[in-house]
Amino acid sequence: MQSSQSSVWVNNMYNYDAIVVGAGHAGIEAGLALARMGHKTVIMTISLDNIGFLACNPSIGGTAKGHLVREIDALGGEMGIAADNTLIQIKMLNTAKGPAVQSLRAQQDKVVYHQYMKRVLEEEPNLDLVQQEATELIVEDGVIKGVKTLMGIEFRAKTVVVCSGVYLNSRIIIGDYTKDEGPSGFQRATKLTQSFIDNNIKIRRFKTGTPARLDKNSIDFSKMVRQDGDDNISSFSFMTKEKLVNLEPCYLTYTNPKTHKVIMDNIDRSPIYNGEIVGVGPRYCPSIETKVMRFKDKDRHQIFIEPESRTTNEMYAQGLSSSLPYDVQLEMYHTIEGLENCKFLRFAYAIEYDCLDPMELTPSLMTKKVKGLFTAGQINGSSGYEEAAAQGIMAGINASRYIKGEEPIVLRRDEAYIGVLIDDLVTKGTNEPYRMMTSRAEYRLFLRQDNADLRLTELGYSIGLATKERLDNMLEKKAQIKEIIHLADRPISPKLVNDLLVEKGETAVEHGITIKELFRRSNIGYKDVQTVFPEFLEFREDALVEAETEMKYEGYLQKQLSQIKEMTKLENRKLPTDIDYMSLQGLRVEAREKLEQIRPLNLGQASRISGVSPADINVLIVYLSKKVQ
Amino acid sequence: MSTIVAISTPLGSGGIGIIRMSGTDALSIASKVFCTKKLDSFTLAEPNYMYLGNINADTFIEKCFAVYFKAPHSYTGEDIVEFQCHGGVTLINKILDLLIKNGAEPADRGEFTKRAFINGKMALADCEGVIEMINADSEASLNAGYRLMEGNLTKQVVTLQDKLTDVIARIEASLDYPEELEEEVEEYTRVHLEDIHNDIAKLVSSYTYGRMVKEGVRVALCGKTNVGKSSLLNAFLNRERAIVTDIAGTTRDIIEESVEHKGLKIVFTDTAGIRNSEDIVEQAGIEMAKSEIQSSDIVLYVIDATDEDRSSELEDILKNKKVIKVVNKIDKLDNKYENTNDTIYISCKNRINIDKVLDRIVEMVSSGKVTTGGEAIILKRHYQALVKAKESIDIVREKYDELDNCIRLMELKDAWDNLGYITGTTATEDIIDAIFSKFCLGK
Repeated sequence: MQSSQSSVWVNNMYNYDAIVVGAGHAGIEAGLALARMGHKTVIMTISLDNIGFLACNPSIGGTAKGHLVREIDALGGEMGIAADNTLIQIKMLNTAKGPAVQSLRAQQDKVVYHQYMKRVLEEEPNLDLVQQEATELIVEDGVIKGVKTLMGIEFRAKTVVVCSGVYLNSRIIIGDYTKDEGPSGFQRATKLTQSFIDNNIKIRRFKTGTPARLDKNSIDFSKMVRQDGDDNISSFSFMTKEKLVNLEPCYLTYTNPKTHKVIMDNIDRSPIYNGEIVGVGPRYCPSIETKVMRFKDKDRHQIFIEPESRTTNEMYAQGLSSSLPYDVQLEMYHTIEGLENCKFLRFAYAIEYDCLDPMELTPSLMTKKVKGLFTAGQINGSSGYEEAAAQGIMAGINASRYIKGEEPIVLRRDEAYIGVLIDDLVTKGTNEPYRMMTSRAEYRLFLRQDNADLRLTELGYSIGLATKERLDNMLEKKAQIKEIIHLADRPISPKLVNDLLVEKGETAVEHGITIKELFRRSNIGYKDVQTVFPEFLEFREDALVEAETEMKYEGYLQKQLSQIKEMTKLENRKLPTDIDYMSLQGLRVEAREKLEQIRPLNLGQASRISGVSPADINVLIVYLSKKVQ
Repeated sequence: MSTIVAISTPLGSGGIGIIRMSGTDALSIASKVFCTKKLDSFTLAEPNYMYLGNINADTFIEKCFAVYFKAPHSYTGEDIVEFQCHGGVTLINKILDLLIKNGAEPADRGEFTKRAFINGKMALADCEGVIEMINADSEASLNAGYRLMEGNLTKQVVTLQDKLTDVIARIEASLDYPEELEEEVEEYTRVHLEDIHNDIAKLVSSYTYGRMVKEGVRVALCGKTNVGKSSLLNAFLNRERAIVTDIAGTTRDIIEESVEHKGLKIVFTDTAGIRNSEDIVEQAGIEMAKSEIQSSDIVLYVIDATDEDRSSELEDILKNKKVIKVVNKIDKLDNKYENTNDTIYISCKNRINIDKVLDRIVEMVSSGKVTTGGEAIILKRHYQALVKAKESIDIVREKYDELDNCIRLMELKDAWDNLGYITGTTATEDIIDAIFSKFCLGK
């Protein structure tokens, strides 16, 4: 059901509702959201052969990132479904540390993932794909009108979402060898940066890196520790019903003092330490030379060897990202157990690229300076496929709402990790590529990966993105949870449960308790309850998990709920867009400048700006009260 | 809005003390602690009537008056209940504690006025004044003395926060990097929480002392007879408090009076002039003067400008004291004198440089030359924040095995945020910085 070319090719130019620049993880979600919400959309990319390319590690998810994938899925996005369909192995992390911080992490087949995503885009009604390099934003009177491409073709649209990833003026660095190109040898984009600058948007330079890819046949896996996926396997998507299968193991090995010596002996040849690299790199994804230099007392670092795809022998060496010269890379890798004779298929490299200061954006991800222009993904200073996809889906949603003249959807920090991510970016900015972490989410007890559908699917459905099938699936789960909790109110006699309690190392009871109180014992799970009370066998597993969590953590959930209520009060106090902060009496100078720059939507957002004190917030409260009078 | 409460009269041994409580729950909180024979419950109180009754606390019963002002006809525009009780510091603070225990929150400085403004009880023209007050609160610039104390307190709390950040970061890192962090966090957490608990407990217990400190810096006036100590006291007070005569040895008792200067409460004690006296009463007065000097924070050593003999019998006593030399009666001299760091030239008679002396006292306190109470907790809201922080830490210490890491972190972050209420900082960024600076993480 492709839209016919004749309907979009008018007056010697293309005419669409929406243009998405870039077909990486952000661009895919943005394009699909726009198309699924009813807009004639085109995604343009430098190469159709890199759609949905996993340019760094062949994996999706991980702590907090797994939450993001679940949330994208709950809203009606594609990443979770694609990950489930192109799996190599999957694991639930943090199973012993409480339900709120459990996260899924999966190894993906990166070749199949790309093929899968390309096909999804091709099959999507309302969505066109075209291989073109965007070079210029067409802006008239501060409003986006479209983009021009390197070939000189003009694309017109009501909105544009730029998801350029790390392709803007990118440069790769391997020791003293540098080359102007995109990741993995792909072509870079050299013109679009200037178009942002011309529109008065601030550009910065960030850096990231990736390890070498090694030939599987040259690695001695017998010297490493085998890492398998979970036996009791879970899936990312709430819609995946069939049981997934782990296909391949990963392997664990370590660096050693010999490795560290090679690095130290050659540190003056490292571009990070000799000044060749100027871009700011992420602290959480340091190169091996950074780790060795900064943590000199550590005598070993973990290295995971992961399959890139079942279609190739390439293996990814997680933990060995580096920008050292190729000869040092070889020498260093060869000191590691199991890698003594490894053959390099691709060398490790660092990559520098242009990105925006995310404080240039409103919480809807629209630029403040050009109306109708949205940006998502690494161009906004984030890192990671999941962070990109999360921004992509929100940018797509809000670009759609912009076309329709509707209020943007801004997820709050208590609603989703996506809300935390975007609020952090646009309110606090970032000085390094931003990674999602559970410690950034202050209401994480509520933001569990298992309840992402309960939190977001209704919204996804109401804005026309999530399907009816998805909504019904969530509503059934919700109803079951309610029923389970209701059933658990039943009082029971001690006789029935004391054997179980003692067996599980819990103290026996003398008087009758409710089943709910049984659930609250830390060593008792729903499976234990089912052995004594078979009526609980009637429910879906995801509903039981959810109900158990809600009962076990009721007290703490209540406590967090009251904190959320306090926060929401500030969040609901909107700040007028026309406040002249520079002349507002009583604000301190720093606060004045920050408020003027960021122009927060409400008092809650204002209170999170660094440099704005509680006293400044009080001044704003006084100002707002004055406005009302 | 929450219901706030504060002591509205100056702390000290005044005849009466007024406690004001404002907010939607004011009446119901009042009815929990106050009963009067006239009503079954104080919730039935007529607005603007004064009721005589009792406040029942565990350890005492206070007979006092209570008045109910119904919203919007009150100072703040909200429901207000005011209690008029006896003015003792301990008593009035106990009643305050009782009201807080029953659900009221300690008011921030300027909060009643702020509410009055927000509720439209104050004119727009007063707006800037309100803003100043709000800013003054957060920056503690209202009161030089407070600023000093808060500075010391803040330093201690920041140290505590650092320790807590370290523990939190360790647990957080183990959650965000489950495959990488090999260190055992449990042992570390347990040991360091004990340490943190002890530090907070110490601070919490210093609160009682802190309240005493709040009552002012003690400044003793001393010197030979007839140099003008009592005149100086009167000059400070701007009224004839002490009897002034030309007769040496007029002052025998200790006279204690306080003034407020630049937000600092200064308690002056006028003492008997020091000389060899045969008079038994005067001798007793001199002994009292010496002991008063010992217990004072600052001594004003008053000297007669016309006196050639500057030697003093007080040198021994003054050796370890913070002393400001005050040379009086410069109106009798022709030549001019320059004030120095430790000497100020004044005339009580012509009111020359009186404020300079007061300025110097404030300066000594705020620059940290004089510390009246170490790192004592002064403000009730600080005390409350510390108590809450301690509660959270105790939950983790005592129920460690029942909680998972996520819940432990929730409590520890609560504790952090309460400490942050004192230092004005928020946790997230600090903790994330600590995660990356302390542990080697990431692929």
